[in-house]
Amino acid sequence: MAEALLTVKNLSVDFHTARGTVHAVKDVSWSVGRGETLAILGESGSGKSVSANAVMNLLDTPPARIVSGEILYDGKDLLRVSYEEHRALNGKKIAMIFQDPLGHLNPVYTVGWQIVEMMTAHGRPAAMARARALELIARVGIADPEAAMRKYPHQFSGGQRQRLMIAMALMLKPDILIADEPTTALDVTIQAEVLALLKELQAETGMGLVLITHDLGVVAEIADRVVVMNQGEIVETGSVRDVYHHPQHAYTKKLIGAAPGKGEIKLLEAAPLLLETKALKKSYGGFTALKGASLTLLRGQSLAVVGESGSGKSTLARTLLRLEDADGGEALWKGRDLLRMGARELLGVRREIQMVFQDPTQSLNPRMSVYQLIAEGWDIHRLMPDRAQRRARVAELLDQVGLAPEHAERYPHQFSGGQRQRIAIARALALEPELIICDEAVSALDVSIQAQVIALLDSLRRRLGIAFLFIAHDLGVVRDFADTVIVMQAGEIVERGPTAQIFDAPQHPYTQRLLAANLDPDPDVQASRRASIAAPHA
Amino acid sequence: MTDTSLAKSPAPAPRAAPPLLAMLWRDKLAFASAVILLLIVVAALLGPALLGEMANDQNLRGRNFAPFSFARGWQFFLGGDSLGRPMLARLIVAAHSTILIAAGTVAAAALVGAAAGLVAGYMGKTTSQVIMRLADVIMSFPSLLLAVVVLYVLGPSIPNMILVLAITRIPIYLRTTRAEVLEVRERMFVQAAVVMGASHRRIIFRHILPVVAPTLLTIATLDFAFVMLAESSLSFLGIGVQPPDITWGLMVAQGRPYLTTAWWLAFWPGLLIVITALALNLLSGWMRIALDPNQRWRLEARSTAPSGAKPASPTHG
Repeated sequence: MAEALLTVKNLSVDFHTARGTVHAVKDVSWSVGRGETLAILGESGSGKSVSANAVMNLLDTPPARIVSGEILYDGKDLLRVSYEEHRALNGKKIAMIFQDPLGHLNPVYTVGWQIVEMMTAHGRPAAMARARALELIARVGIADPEAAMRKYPHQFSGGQRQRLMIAMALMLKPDILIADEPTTALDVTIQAEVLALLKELQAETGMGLVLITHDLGVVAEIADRVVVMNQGEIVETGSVRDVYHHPQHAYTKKLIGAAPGKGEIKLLEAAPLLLETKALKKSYGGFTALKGASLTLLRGQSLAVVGESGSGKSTLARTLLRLEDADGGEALWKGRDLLRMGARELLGVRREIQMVFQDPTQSLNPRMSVYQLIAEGWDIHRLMPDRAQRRARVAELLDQVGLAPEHAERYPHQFSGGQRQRIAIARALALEPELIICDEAVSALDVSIQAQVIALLDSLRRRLGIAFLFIAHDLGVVRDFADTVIVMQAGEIVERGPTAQIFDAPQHPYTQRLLAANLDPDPDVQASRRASIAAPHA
Repeated sequence: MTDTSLAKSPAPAPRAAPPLLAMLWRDKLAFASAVILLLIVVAALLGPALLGEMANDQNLRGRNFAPFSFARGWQFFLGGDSLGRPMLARLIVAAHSTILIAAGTVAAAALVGAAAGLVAGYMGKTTSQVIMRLADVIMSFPSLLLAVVVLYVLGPSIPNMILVLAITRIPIYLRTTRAEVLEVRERMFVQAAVVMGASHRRIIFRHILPVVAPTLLTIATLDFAFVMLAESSLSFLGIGVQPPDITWGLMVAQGRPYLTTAWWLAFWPGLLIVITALALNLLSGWMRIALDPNQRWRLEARSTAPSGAKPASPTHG
């Protein structure tokens, strides 16, 4: 291990909230050397960002309070230097990039102006700053840097914006780059490109890279050493390979075990036809979101629709649910066309098709109790007028999704993200549907909870014979859950087939690219993949 | 199966929602406000029957009688007006018309405005456009001028005043409601309700209205004071409440010429308007928290409220 460039020693930070003091990080120590990549791995609420924010002096005090510890850089304790001294280091010696580049670029200034400002703010001449900006924009792989300088943030795609953020961070040749979930908001193929770029740049400049992430695949791809955090504490630290193959702590074992994409692949069983769409079309103004999608879904089948953002997979779900009106085509639900149904007939179908949304925080009405949420479907469809019977059934449903019956009187905000998604699933089950459409239903959840929810959905599918239309961008999850996969790109279905066939012998180049870009949590698998496939650069 | 592990993972300790009264007691300021408002309502209901005669009994020897003296009996404790009528009795009697007009106006405006706003926000573009342009027409016309014209034509009476004042206040509720509805109806839980097959009525009343209601409640309480003062300017012009009927706003207006010599003529009714508005505001703030499951814990956790705030003396009511 190289000599430490930045060292965090015994750092403890408390947050004072209305509900009492929260120990956000407890006695955390890590260090990063020149040319080294350290990953801080943890799930939401593990405190993985807190120590990095302390390095950058980004913690708001109060509510945060640094209880103890020191952060050493270049012989100085960053927790004790003056605000001015810290400011001189920030950006210049230690730079940071964030998950959401759009949120961190000012929408009213051109990108060029903002990148140049990074340097002029630290007292460099404007001409020099401009030359350096042009050089870096070209370096991070953006075509025509001169024109790019004059554009505004919204004119770039998410991946390009993250590249620009990286260019901005590198303007002053920092010693250390801290990247907080830099690729979480990006599609898999873009993620692979951005990670490759970070790696190249690190090799060129020899900077230390601190990568904060929840994704084991990202860690396997890029990091040398990893620090695993859980509930504010470091539970394990070591080289990526050691930690993956010989995890010591129970939490690390659980985390690695929960990583999707390792289970047995399911096979499609013969069953009667439930839903068939023919040449489904939908466009918004001049943009065609869906260019004639045809698919079939059998009773009890789990069909996954895979694609990157903008591929039309959500539009497909929304048209099937009649949240949007399709422009053409047919969707036959048990032989009747969903798209041309009258209000009465549609109400009946609404009972048979339920949906689970991506973000349970938003899809559950915050002013309704769990009982009201689950029972609402019965109100709508005038089922089960008897209150006692309803109570019993709600309790039964809560039990079915792994919650306790006494949770019925609580409100959504009193639950964690995974529990909320369980409530949403219980609500969908209340009407005894034949099809549940899941739109990225697990992508907002932490890996360990993701695994639990997937297991739950799978057991429901087997026990109750419910069919699933499962929309996802995470291939690991799809591999674990689906028996048939449809790959979509730019509004078209480019490949379809049984899960095993798609994963083992993908035919279409786009599918192959998707699979190649998907990061395996095993660092050795990831390394051999890197060697065999030259990642295509867009 | 891993299912059970989550069942055990704790959500915050179960708390059954305590009864409203207990939550009101937790917030001492809101509790005092509720008591004051209750007294004002009682005065408004019983005042005219009990003290109506006394309030209009002229006594020229008691003209502009100074307050804080029992020399002429308890009813003159807050002084006498320019015709020698007891202030205290008049204040109590005036509560009737004041509260009737203010409450009637605010309720009517909020009801109509919110309903129109819900429709404008939820329905398609054309309906929305028509409703919004109508609101613009009302807003672009000076409200006092409108009131003068209408009351001149219809003749001054309390129902007519409520009608006129309500019309001028409708756009405020309408615009706020519409803006909120436009935002709320795009939220995921509304879409989830659509997917379940919920009717428009259900979506509007069960999912959208409860989210919009706290904002409307806040505006309504602020509007209460505004209406009391607007009513006084109409009365001042002679097209509002007609003597011998009285309101606090009218009393303020009538007391204005005497401010230098007999401050109490305008001060007491003015103070009552302020107290009423303040109490309503505090109570609506409490209600917003009490009705929101997300915020309710603030009222449950706070077992000892700061006791610095003394309730204003209820004798004013």
